[in-house]
Amino acid sequence: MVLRFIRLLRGYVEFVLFGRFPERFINLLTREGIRSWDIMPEKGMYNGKMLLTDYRRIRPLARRAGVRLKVRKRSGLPFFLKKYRRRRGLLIGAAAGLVLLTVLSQFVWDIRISGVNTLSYSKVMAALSDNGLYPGCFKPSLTVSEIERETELYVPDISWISINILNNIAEVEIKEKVRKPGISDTKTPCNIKASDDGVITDIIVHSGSCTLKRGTAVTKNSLLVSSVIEDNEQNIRYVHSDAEIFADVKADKVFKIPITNNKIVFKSETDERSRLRFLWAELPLSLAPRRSDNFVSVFSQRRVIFNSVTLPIGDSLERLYYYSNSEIKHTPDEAKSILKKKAALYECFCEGKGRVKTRSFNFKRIDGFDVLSASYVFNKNIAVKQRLKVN
Amino acid sequence: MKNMEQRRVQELNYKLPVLEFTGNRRVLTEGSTGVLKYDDELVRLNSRSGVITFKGRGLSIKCISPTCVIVEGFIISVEFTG
Repeated sequence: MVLRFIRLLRGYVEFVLFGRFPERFINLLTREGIRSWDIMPEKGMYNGKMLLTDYRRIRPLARRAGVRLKVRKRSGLPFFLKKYRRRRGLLIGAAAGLVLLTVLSQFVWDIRISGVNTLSYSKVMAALSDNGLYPGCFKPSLTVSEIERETELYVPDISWISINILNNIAEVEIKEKVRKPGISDTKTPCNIKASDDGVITDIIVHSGSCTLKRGTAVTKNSLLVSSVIEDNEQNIRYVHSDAEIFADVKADKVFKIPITNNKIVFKSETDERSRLRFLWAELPLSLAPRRSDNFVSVFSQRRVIFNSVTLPIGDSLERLYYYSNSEIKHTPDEAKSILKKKAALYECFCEGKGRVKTRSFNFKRIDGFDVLSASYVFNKNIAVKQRLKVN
Repeated sequence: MKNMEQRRVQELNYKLPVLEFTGNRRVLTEGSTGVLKYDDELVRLNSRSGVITFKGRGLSIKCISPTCVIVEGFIISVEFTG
């Protein structure tokens, strides 16, 4: 294999030998130290192979042996170079390719992150980028241990991080922190108090002593379930009270919006501005000016992937959506509809655990505002645990 | 291994050719001084102790140097003269 490679590098010829004393010619070759191989007889002639440098020396020997030589085939690098010597573009292209390969191998082309389950991928990427590791960064300038340490500090949910730079790909392995499960305290003595004023509708006591009955009215912070239990022999025992006390609670809420409001209206016209990305550099492909300063831009990026390797070339597209600010005045019906939606959101998200028993709305226009006054009766659990203080 | 090498050197010193066969398909001849006759059925090599003749079918000289010849092909007989 090595011999074949050396022969190809130096160049060799396949020749045909014929004449009076071919054996003498072979002997002369060996005496002169000229190496030939694969000498095979064929129909009164001989085929053989010889290095190009040797072939130039054998003319006098052939004359002495009375044989003639004819070249059948030329192989190897010198013939290849001779064939393409006038096509300088090829040489320049090969040199440029070599330079490009050398330069590009000094940069990180792609970052692969593994082990991210609950963490935000983009947050990790942003942390790495802030610490100097991003697609297109210069490899020799990276200090991996420092990036690992800084990233771990930047994202506290990472318990362990390892960065391996293999060729042009940075492989980032992450182990996330496992959070401790919340342990509910079921032993410390505590009372249960009311979180709101209301009329009790249902009582479910798991532990503790409760003297209340259905229909009893309670005020905020009044004792619902006591942790002090006294037995028949008048011994006092403190327990961790646990209960669900449902009560009808009255709540008033005011929602308001201005009568005139600024509204963003998107226009139908959009612009697209594409850029060619190479490593960190960007080359704009469209030079269209912006139509106005009121726009929202959406970026999208594409990268060239070859054989599952992301190459450092791609394009990015910025799409501009133009809008205009317009002042609109709500009609009473529109205002009512908007305010009722706000009220529905309040019922869902602010009083989500309670069930709405009754609701009533009162709509008014006061001092440039549309106001919706809402009166609710929620049925909800008003039990709140409060630790027992023993002085 | 060392003994074998020593023996080979000794044999060369006695001007005897060394023949190394691989079955009957390949023979390496050390100590040859030239090719006397060569075609696909007969290869005759000169050595200091005489002439060695290989007869066979499809014979060819695979490689040749001043003291060494490799003959390949289907070797039927080997003959020593002189």
